[in-house]
Amino acid sequence: MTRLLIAPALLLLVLGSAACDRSAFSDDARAELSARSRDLTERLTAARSGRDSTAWDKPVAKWELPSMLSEASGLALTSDDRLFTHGDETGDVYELDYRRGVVVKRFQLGPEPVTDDFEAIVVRDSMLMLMTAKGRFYEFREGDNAERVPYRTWDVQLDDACRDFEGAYYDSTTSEMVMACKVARGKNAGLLIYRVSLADGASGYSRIDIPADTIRARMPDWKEFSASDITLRRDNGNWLLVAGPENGYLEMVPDGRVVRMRSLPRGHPQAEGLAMTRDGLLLVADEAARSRATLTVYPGPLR
Amino acid sequence: MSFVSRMMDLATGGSESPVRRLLVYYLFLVLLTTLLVQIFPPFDVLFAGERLEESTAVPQLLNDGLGSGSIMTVIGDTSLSPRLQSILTAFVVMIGALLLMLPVSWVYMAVRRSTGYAQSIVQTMLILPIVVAGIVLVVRNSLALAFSLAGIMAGVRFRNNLRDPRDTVFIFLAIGVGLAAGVQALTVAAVLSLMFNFLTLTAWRTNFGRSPLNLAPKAGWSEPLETLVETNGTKTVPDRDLLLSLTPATATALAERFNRVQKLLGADPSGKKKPRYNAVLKVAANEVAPAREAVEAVLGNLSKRFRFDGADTPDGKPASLWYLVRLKKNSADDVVSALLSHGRDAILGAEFEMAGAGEKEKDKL
Repeated sequence: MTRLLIAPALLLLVLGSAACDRSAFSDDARAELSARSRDLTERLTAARSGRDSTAWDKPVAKWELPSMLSEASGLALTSDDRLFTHGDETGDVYELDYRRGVVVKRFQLGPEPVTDDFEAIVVRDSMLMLMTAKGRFYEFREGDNAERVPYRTWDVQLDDACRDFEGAYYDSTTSEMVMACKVARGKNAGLLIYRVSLADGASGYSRIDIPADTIRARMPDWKEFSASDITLRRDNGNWLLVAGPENGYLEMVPDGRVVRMRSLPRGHPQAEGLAMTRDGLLLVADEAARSRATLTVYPGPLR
Repeated sequence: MSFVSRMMDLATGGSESPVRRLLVYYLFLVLLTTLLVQIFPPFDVLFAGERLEESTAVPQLLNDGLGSGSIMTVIGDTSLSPRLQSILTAFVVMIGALLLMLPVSWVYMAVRRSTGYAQSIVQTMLILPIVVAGIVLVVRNSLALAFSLAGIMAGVRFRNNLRDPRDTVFIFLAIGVGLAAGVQALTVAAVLSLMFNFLTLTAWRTNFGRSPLNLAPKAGWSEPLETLVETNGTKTVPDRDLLLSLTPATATALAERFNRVQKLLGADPSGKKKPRYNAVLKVAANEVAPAREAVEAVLGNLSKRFRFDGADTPDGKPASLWYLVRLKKNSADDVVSALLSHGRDAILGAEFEMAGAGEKEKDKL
C-alpha cells in the first residue's frame, strides 16, 4: 500500500516541478525591476550632473547577494558588459544584473564539483577563467543556467613569487594577464603586480613593484596595500585596485605611478571584487563579514 | 512530556478538547517565535524560507541594500564565527521541527486510539523530521551531495509496510516538516503542521468520508449491524468502523470468544449462578517464572480461585502475565498490597480489572 502511495506522490512532484515555470517573474517583480531601472537612472543622472564631489562616493545601487555568494571574491565584465562573479571555494559562476539586482543564471564547472581557493574571475575574449590564489587558471566557456561546463587548467608558474594572488584581469590590447599579488614573498613589498604575456609564442612576465614605504608615505595607517582585485579603468587606461584588509582604493598608471590612494567609502566590510563598465559604473563586491555579501554600484571611479 | 501536559492543562483550564489544546499549543509557539525574533532579530531568517527561494529560483531578485537602509545580518549582531552560526542554525531548525511535530503525534495517538497504533510510528514521527532537516542542511545547494544521498538511500532497502495507509500520510508530513525546516522555512512547516492537525481532527470527529453500507444485497445482515452501532445516549460503540466491517463468519468467531469470556467472567443472566472468575489480574515482570511463583503464592492465599491465562514476553520490554481470578469480597486492595510486598523482587507492577463493576485498581511498584 505504501508503494502504491509513493508512486503517485513522486509523479505529482515531477509533474509539479515541470509545470512550475520559475524562469519568469511575476507582474509585481517586473514592476519592481522597472522601478529599480528608473531609480538607478535618476540617481546616476543626479550624481554625474552635480558639482558635489562627494556624490561620487555615494552608491547609486547596492544589492544584497544571496548566501550562496557570501564569499563572492571576484568580478568580471564581458565585452557586452554582463557581470560575472563566483564563490570562493567552489566552481560556481553567477551572472548578475547589476543595474536591477537580479541573479540571472548560475552554472558550475566540471561534471563533478570543483573545489579550490578561487580568488578572481577573468574574461578573455569569449572564454571565462577562474584564478586560484596560487595563480592557477580554470578556463571554460560561458554556460547556460544550471549547466555544468567543461574546463581546462593552466598555470602561470608564479607560485614562488607570490603566496596569494587575489585579483586579475585580461588586457586584450597587450594579450597580458594582469595579476595583483596580495601577499608577496619578499620584504618591504607594498604592492606587487605581475603582467604575464599570453600571446602566442610569448613567455615570461614583468613585475611592477610599489614599495611599502611609498604606500605608508601616502597612507600612514597602512602597512601595505593588500590588493584584493584589479581592473582596468576604461576611460583612461589606468588600473584600479581595492584592498580588503586596508579598506583601500588605489588608481595607478600601468607604468607604476600611483595616481590616487584613499580609503573606500563607508559600507565596505571586505572589498574583494572590482569592475568598471563601459558606461563608467564602478562595481565593488564585498564578502559577507557579519552581514550579507553585497554588490555596490558607484556612478564612476572614486575621486 | 508530562510537563508539557501540565502546562497545557493550566492554559486550557483542564479542557480535554483536542482542538482547544492544539490552539493553545500553536499560540504558545507563535509567542515563543515572536519573542525569539524580538530578542535575536537575525533568527528571522530561519523562518522566512529564504534558503528555499535561493536554492530554487533563477532568475532571482536581490534585496535592495540602499532601500532598506541597513543590511540584514545573518546570525547575530555580534561577531559569531561561521561554525557557531552553523550550530545555532541547526539547533533552532531541529528544535523547530520537533516542536511542530509534537502536536501531530498527539493527534495521531488520539485518532488511532480506538484501532491501536504502533509506538514506533509515533517515535518515528518525532525523530524523522529532525533527521530530514539535518540532511537538508548538509546537502544545501550541492547537486553532488544530493546525488550522493540518493545513492546511499537507494542502497538501503526499506521493506517496512505500514499497516494503515493513513499512517503513510503522517510519515509524509514528518518528511515535509523536516524539509521545510531544513530549508529554513519554519513558517511553512508551521502552517503545514497546523492545517494537517485540524483537518485530521475534523475528519476524525465528523467521520468524514465513511462509506455507508450497501443495504440492498445483504440487508438481512447489515441492518441489524446498523442498529447495533447506534448509540443510545449513554453507551458509545468504541469502534464503529470495526463493528460495521464484521462479516457473519468473523462475527460468529467473535461471539464464541465473547461467550467464553462471559462464562468465565460475566454474571449469569438468570442471576442464579455466580461467574467462575470476577477479575482479571495483569502483572508486569522482568522474568516470568519467578513472577508466577510470587503471584500464585499470594493468589493461593487471598483468592477463592485463580487461573493463569497466559504471558506476553515482548523483546526489550517487561513481560505481561494474565490471571483470571475469583476474588473474595472486597479483597482487591489486600491482594494488591500482598503482591507489592511479597513479590517486590519479581514483580514490576500489578493491575486488576474487575468484571462487571467497571472499577479498576492499579498499583505500581
